[in-house]
Amino acid sequence: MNQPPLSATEIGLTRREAIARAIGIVGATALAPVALSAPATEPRKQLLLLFLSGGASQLETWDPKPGARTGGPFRAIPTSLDGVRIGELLPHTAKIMHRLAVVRSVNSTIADHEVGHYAIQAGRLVPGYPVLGSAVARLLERPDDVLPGYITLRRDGPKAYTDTGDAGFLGAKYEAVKVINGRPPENLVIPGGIQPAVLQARDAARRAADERFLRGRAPGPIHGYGTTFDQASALMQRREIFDLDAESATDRDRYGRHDFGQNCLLARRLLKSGVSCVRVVHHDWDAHQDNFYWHQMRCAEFDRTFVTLIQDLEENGMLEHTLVVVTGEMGRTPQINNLGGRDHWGRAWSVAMAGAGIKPGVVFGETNDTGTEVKADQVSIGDLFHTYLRALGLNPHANYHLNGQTNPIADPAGKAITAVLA
Amino acid sequence: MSPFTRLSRRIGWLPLLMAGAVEVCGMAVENGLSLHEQIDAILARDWAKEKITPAAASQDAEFARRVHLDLTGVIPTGTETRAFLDDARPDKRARLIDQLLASPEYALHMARVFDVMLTERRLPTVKPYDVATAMWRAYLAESFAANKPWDKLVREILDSDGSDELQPAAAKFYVVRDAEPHQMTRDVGRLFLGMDLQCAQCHDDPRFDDYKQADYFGIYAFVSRLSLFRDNKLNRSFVGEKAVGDVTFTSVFTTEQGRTDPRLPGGTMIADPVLAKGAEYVVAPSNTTRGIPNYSRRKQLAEQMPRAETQGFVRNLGNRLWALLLGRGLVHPLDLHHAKNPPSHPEVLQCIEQWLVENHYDIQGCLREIALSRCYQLSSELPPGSEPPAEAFAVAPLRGLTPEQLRWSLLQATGRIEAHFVRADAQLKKSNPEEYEAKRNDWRWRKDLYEQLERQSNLVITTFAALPGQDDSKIDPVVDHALFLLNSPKLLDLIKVAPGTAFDRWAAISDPGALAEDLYLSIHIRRPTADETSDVTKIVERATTPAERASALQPFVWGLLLSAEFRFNH
Amino acid sequence: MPAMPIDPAKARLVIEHKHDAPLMSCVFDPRGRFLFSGGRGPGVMCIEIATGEKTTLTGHDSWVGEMARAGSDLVLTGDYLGRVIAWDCSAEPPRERWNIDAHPSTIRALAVSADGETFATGDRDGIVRIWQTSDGRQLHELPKNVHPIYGLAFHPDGQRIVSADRQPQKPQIKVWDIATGRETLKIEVAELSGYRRVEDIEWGGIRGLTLSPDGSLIVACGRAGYDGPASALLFDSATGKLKRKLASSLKGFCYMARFHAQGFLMTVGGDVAKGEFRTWNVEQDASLADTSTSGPCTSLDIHPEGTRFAVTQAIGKSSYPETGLLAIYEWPA
Repeated sequence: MNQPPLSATEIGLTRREAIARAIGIVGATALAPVALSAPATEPRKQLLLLFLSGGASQLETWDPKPGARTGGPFRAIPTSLDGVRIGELLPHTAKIMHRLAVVRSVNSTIADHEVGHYAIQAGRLVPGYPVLGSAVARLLERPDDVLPGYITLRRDGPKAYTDTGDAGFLGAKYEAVKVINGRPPENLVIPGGIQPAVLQARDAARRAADERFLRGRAPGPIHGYGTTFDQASALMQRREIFDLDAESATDRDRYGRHDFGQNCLLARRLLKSGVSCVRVVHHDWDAHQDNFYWHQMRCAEFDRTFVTLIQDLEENGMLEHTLVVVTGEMGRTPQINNLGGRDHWGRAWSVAMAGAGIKPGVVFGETNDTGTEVKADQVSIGDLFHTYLRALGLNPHANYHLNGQTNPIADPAGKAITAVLA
Repeated sequence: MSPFTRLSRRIGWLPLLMAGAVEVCGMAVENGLSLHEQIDAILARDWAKEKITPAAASQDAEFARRVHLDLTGVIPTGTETRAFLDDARPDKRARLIDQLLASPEYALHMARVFDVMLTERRLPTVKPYDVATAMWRAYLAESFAANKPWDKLVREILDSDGSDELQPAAAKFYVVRDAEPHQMTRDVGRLFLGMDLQCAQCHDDPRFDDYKQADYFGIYAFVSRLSLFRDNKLNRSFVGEKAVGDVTFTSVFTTEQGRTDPRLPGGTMIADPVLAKGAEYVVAPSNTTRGIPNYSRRKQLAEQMPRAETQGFVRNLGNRLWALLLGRGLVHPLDLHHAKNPPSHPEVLQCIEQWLVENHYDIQGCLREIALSRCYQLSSELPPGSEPPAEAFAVAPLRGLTPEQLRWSLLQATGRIEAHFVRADAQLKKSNPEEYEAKRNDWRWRKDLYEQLERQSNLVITTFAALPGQDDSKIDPVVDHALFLLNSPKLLDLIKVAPGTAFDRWAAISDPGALAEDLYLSIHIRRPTADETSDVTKIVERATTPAERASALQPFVWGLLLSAEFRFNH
Repeated sequence: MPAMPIDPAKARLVIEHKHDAPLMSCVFDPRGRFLFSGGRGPGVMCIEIATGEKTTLTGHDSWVGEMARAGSDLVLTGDYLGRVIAWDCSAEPPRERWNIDAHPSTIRALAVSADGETFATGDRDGIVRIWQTSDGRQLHELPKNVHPIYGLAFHPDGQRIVSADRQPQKPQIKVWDIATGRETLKIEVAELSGYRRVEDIEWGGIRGLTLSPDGSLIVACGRAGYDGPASALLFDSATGKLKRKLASSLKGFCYMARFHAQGFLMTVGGDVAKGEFRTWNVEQDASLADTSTSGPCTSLDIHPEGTRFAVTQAIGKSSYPETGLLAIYEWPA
C-alpha cells in the first residue's frame, strides 16, 4: 500500500481527519475533502457477506451426518476436496469446495434471531458495537471515497430482522445503505424544475444553521445527522451503481431469477463499483417445521447462485481481494422436532469463507457423530470476527478512539483462526 | 413537624440526602416535598457523588419548544412563542405546562403516542377487518382528555373483545396482533410490565436469571385460549375465547415439562373454577360466532394486570412517562427490566412509582411533575468541558423528533395548520355561533381538522417510522431520510411557496429585522441572533415585491427545516 | 373379501409394536402374513403376524417413507435417497429380490398398478417413473414436473396414472396417459394449500392420494389452509369436479387415505403430539367412526383380507419425538 498503515492502536480519526490534523487544517472534523498525494493504486480490500437469515441447518449443508439419528434423510456427497463431503442439497457448491474454507466448530451459545443477528456480525454479545460491514466500512475507508462504505440488500417485511443501529457508536455514516426488495434508495434524483441556485442556497442555509447549533452541544447526533446529507449527495451522483438493468439478461438468468439471485448480481455490480462492504441477505432459513423440504427449497436457490457469484468474482480478478463470508445467525438443532423441523441452535454449527486472506480448501474443526457437540477446535463468534479482520489485512487488536472513548475493534478474548488464513 | 423537616427547612434537603440521613420517597412525601422536588434532590445527590456537573437551566425559548413538543407533539406557532418569551410572570413555565396539559392537543398527542406504543404500527393480517385507526385514536384521545387513570385504560384494553358498543376500539391491541398468543404474551410483558420475555419462550434465558420460562407461560396462559374471529357480515374482528385449553411447556433443550395456570410475574396462579359440563360457554364458538366462555381468562388478565401488586406494572408506567419527557427510560431499554439491567436512578423511579400509586395512576399529574422538575428543564448545551453520559440525565438530550412530531412541526412552521384552522374556525362561527366557543376547543372537532391535514403528509410518517413491530426511537438518522428531505416531491409540496402558508405572511414583511424575527420564532422557536438577522437581510435585499421575497426565502426556509436544530427535540 | 361385511365403525386394537424411531410407512404383504413398517431409520421392521416375531430388513441407507405390496408375493419399499427394494415374501423372513437406484432424490410417492405388474415412483424433484415389478426395469418416465410429487395412484384400467404435487398455492392433481405420457386432466387444489407469504413456503400441499377401487373418485389428503383442519377432498376423476370435503376437527394434516374393498374410506392424520384415524362413507360428510391416538398417524394399510388394518405413528412427549408405534386393529366379524 502506498499509504502508511495507521498506527496499530490508534484508529480514532479517519484518514482524512488524521491527515488534516497533520497538515494543520483547523477543525479536524472538516467536511470538505482534503488534497492528498496520489491515492493508493493497490486494489482495495472488500467484504461480501452472504447472510443466511433465520439460521441455515449445518446438518443439511456444511456438516452432514448421514445415517445418524440426527442426520435426517439426506445424503452427503463428495466434493472437489478429497475426503470432504457436504450435504447433497449443495451439488454445485461441492464442486468448488477447493476454493472455500469451512469452519465446522462454531459454538456461539446463541439461539435467538435478534441477538444472533447482532452478535455474529459484531463478534460479541455486548450491544452497541458496529457490525462487521459497518466496522470494515470504516476501517477500510479512503479519503477520496464517495460511495457509501456499506450497502445491504434485503427484503422488507416480516422476519426481516431489521438492521437499524448496525453502525453502533461509529454513527450514521457507517450505517448500511439499504436496497430493500431490489429497490435502490428512493429520492436519488432531484425533482424536476428546481434551479441549482435554490439547492445551493438551501444547502448553505442548512450548513450554517448546523454550525451555529453545534456550538456548546453534543456533537455526535448533530454530526450524524449532517453526515447523512453528505452521503445523500454522494449517492445521488453515483446512483447508476444500483441499476440492475445495466446488467445483461444472460447474467440475470445465470444468477437465478429470484430475489437472492438478483441481489447477488447487484452485489457483484456494487463491489465492482468500489463499495467496500456488501451484505446480501438470503431470507427464511428458520425451518421450525418441515425442515427437509424447506432446506431443499432454500439450498436450491443458494447453491447455484453462490457458485455463479464466486466464479464471477474469480474471473474478474476480484476474489483475491474480496473476503466472502457465508453465515447465518445460528445453526439448527440436531434433534428433529415433532413437526419435522429443526429449532434454533448455537452449540455446534458451521460458517464458510473464501477470497481475500483465506486459505482455500480447508475444513477446520469437527463435531461429534451426531452433531450435538463440537469435538475439536471449537471457535467463538469473537474468533470468527478476528479471522475476518485479519483476512482483510486489518489488526483486530487495535482500538477505536471516538468521542473520548476507547473501544476495542474486536472482542479482546477472541483469536483469529490461523488454520483458515492464507 | 418532624425534626428532619425543621432541619431541612434550614439547610435544604440535599445535605440530608448526602448524609444518607433520609429515606427518600417516604420521608419526602411525609414532609411535603413534591415529586419533582424529590426527583431533583435525588439527582443532585447522585451528580455530586459521581462528580457530574449538570448543564445550566434552559432558556425560555428552549423550554417552550421542548415542552410544546413533549406535551402536544408539535412546535408552537411564532405568535405563541413571542407571547411566552415576552411574558414577564415568574411562574410562566408552570402556567405553560398546565395550559398545555389542559389543551385538546395534549389529548390528541397522547393518543398518537400511545397508539404507536401499544400497536407499534402493526397491521393485522386481514386489514379490512382491523379496528379503524381513527376510531382507535378517538378512543385514546377521549381517555386522555378525561385523564383516565392508567389502570382503567389498561383494564379496558385487556378486557375488550371488540363487542362493547361504547368502546369497540379498545380491542385494537389484540386485533393488530391477530390475537396470536405468543405475540400477545410477549407484548403484554413488554408494554405493560416492561419485561421482554421472548427468549424464555423456548428455554430459560441464559442471559437473565430472573426471566423464567414459567413467567412467560404464566402470561401465555391468560391469552392462549384467545383467537381472532372475523365477522364477515360486520366486516370486523372480535376476540373469541375458548373455555378449554391448558398450557404446558417444554424446554427445547431439556425434556422438562411444566404446566401452568394463568399467573403474572411475581403473582400467584389463578386456577379455573370447575364448571358444570355444558355450562362452559355463554356462547359456544362456531363458524358464525366467536366463543364467549362463562369464565374468561382474558377478563382475569384485565383484572390482575393493572394493580400495584403486579410486578412491574407501576414501574413500567413510571419509566415510560419519564422516557416520554426525558428521551430515555430510567430503565433502558424500556422493555428490558431485570436484575442485571436495573434503573440508572432507582430511587427516582421508586418515588415516581409511589406517587403513581398514591395518585391513582394520574398520567397528566405525573407528566406535570416531571415537567416541573429542574432536571427536565436543563439546557441541551453541555456543561463546560464535559459531556455527561446519557443515563445521568445531567443535560437535555438531543432526540430526533418522532415521525408524528416531525410531520406536525413541518406543517406548523409553514403555517399550514394555522391556515386550516382559521378557515374552519370562521366557518364554525358562521354556522354555529352558540356552540362556537365550546366546540372550537373540543378535541373531537380539532381531531377531524388534523385528520384532514394528515393526508398531505403521510409520506413523512412512512419514511421516518420504523418497520411494524420495531421501535421508532431506536432509529438513527440514515441516508434515506436525507434523500427524502432533499429530493422528495411530496416534501417539496409541504414547503413550497403557496397561498395559505406562512410565505404569505413573510412575503408581506418588508422590514428585514421583523422578517428575521418572524422566521426564527416560527421555525426555530426563538429570536434570531444578530448574525442570523443579517443573513436574512442579505437574502431579501434584492427583492422588491412580495413574490420575489417569498421566492428568495423559500430555499432558506427549506434549509432551516432541514437543519439539526429543527430535526431534533433539544 | 371377508365372507360377512364388516362394520367399519367397530374397529378394535389388537396389538401395538414400539419402534425406536418415528414411523412413516407400513404395508401388509400380498398374502397377509407379514406387516412391514419403516420410518426415520434405514431398517425396515418386518413382523410375522402369526408369531409376532420381528425382523429388521437391511438394505436401505436412509429413511423409508413409502411402501406398497405388489403381485402375489412382493413388497416394495422406497427411501429418501431414491432407492427402491423389492422384498420376496415367499421367503421367511422376506428377502431382497432386487434393488434399484430409482431416483436421484427422495421418493415421496410409490404406487402399484391393479394387476401388480407395474409400479410408479415420484420424487421431490418432480420426476415420475414407471417400472416393471418383476425385475425393477424402468418402462416409462413422465414429462418432468416442477414440484415435488407427494402422491401417485394407478387407475384400475391400467392405462392411466394420477399424480399429486406440492406446487405453492395451487397443489395439482394430474391424470396421465401412461403410454403417451400425455396429461389428460389437471385439477388445482387451492383448498389444500398452506402457503404463507411470510416465509414464501408452501406449508401444505397434497400429502396423499388414492383412487376408489372403480377409479371414479380421486381422494386428495392434506390440510385445509395453514390452520387446517385435516381434510380429504373427493374429486370426480372424469370431470375433475370437487364432490365432497371430508373434514376432521384436527388442526393438522390428513396424510393418507385408503379404500376398503367394501367401499368405505379410511383416513389417517395428525398434529403435534396427537393423531387420529377415521372411517367414512363417501356419500356423507360426517365420519362413521373416529379414533384418537397419542401421536400423529402417518400411514395406514388395510390387510388384503380386509379384516384388519395397521396404522403408524410418531411418538414423543417432548419437542423431539424419538420413537414410533405400529398398531394393528381388527374389525370383528
